[in-house]
Amino acid sequence: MKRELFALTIVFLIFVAFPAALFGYQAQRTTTTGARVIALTANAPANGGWQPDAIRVNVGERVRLRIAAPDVVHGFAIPALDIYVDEILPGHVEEIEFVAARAGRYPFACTRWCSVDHWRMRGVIEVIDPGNPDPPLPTIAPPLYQQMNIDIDAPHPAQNVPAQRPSAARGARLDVSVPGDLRAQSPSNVFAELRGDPALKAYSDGQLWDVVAFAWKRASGDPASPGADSALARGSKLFVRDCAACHGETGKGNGPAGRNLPGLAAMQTDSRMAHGAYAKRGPADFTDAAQMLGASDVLLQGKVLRGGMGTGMPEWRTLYSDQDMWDLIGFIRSFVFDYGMSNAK
Amino acid sequence: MNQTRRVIVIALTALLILVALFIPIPTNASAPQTRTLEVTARQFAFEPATLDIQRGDTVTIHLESLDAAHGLYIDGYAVDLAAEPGKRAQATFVADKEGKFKFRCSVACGALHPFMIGEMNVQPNFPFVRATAVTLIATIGAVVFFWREE
Repeated sequence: MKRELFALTIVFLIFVAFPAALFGYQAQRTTTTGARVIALTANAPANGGWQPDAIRVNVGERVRLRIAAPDVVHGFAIPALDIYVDEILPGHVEEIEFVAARAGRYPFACTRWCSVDHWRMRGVIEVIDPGNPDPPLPTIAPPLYQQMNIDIDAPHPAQNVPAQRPSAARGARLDVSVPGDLRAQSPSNVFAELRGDPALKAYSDGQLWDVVAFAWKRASGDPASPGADSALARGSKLFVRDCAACHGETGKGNGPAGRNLPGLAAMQTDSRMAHGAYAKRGPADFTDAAQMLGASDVLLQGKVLRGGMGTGMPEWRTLYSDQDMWDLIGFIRSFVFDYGMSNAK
Repeated sequence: MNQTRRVIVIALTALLILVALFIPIPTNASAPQTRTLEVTARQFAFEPATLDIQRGDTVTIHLESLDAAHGLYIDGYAVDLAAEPGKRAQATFVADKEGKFKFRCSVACGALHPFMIGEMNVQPNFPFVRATAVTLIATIGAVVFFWREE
């Protein structure tokens, strides 16, 4: 009888008391921290990606994410909430706490190149207002390339190509101003306009290209603050984080992840993908002046935010703010224009 | 075998071992050069997995990762690199220690990460030659020492 009671006690401890204590402790910890604790696991996409990849929280709720990465090094970012965790090491748990002040959908993504399918590793945090759980969708203006009716898949060869790399520094010393909004025009067209201006007959082609380079550098950001947080520096950071794996550190389109893109062979042989100059290529070469100078910033923006539609180029509209986008495009120009930066490393 | 012969065998063996350990070996190796080595890393191997260099060389290792974040740590040289696709890493060092050194991935890169190992041979590998000679001499000495004449 006594032994039976002893056995029953052990069974009770294992099946009731221990789980109750465990869950009770967790519940108590949650209430005392005042935050809702959500466990988030970062797996490479081949192993399931983010788990969970959709998180629902209420407006104003304090949320604590505990992020673990069991397989490889991952990163975590909710760009719209300005939350970044640069490194989640296997074996560590990274904690971040935030309060989502406004209802909405906030995409999050991995920011480290964790596998060939890294770019698929995305998820979304839905912040819901309990009083108004199903608000009408906000109206978002269509992207500029749609407003301006630009076909971003059409070839865009430059009509004019400089003989040498245009230098913004040399252009700054020439007293030529370039009028108008540069974003909608290609550098090649701006050059053609300057060349056609009789008042500028005295300048050589090379000098006018320098002027164009300087105009683009000035338009791409804040020439007054060329420091570490300039627009170009921010663009450079984004490029290294998100683009360099395929497009290469030097922008030549030869990055390691781009060499074995899934479907690259099909891209190069499928006639439906052949679109003039775009046939038979993988990641774009940003140092190719004949292509890059024929594209306006708006066209490039369209390509980046929509993505490559089956070419392996992801869409960035959900992750990039407008500012991010222009910073990045400003930086991408520096592969053709010499901005005096040391990006070719 | 009498006592005197045993002492002679021990003394001779010890002498030969000392000679093998400390005799300067003439090197006909070429003058130290500057080398640049390209190493690519992927799950779960280095390519090339064996690096052959000469002692005194100034070595620059470029590490390029093809899939995920990888590292390269050379035992004995404390060279530590970390690379990702799109983010190459490089380090320069002078190979002043001869021998065979393992290098391994230093960033947890997946299930077989602990087995992602390569080796660097810094030639000429005199410690290995000396160790071999010492072993041979000691073996021969022991055989002579314990030899029993019928």
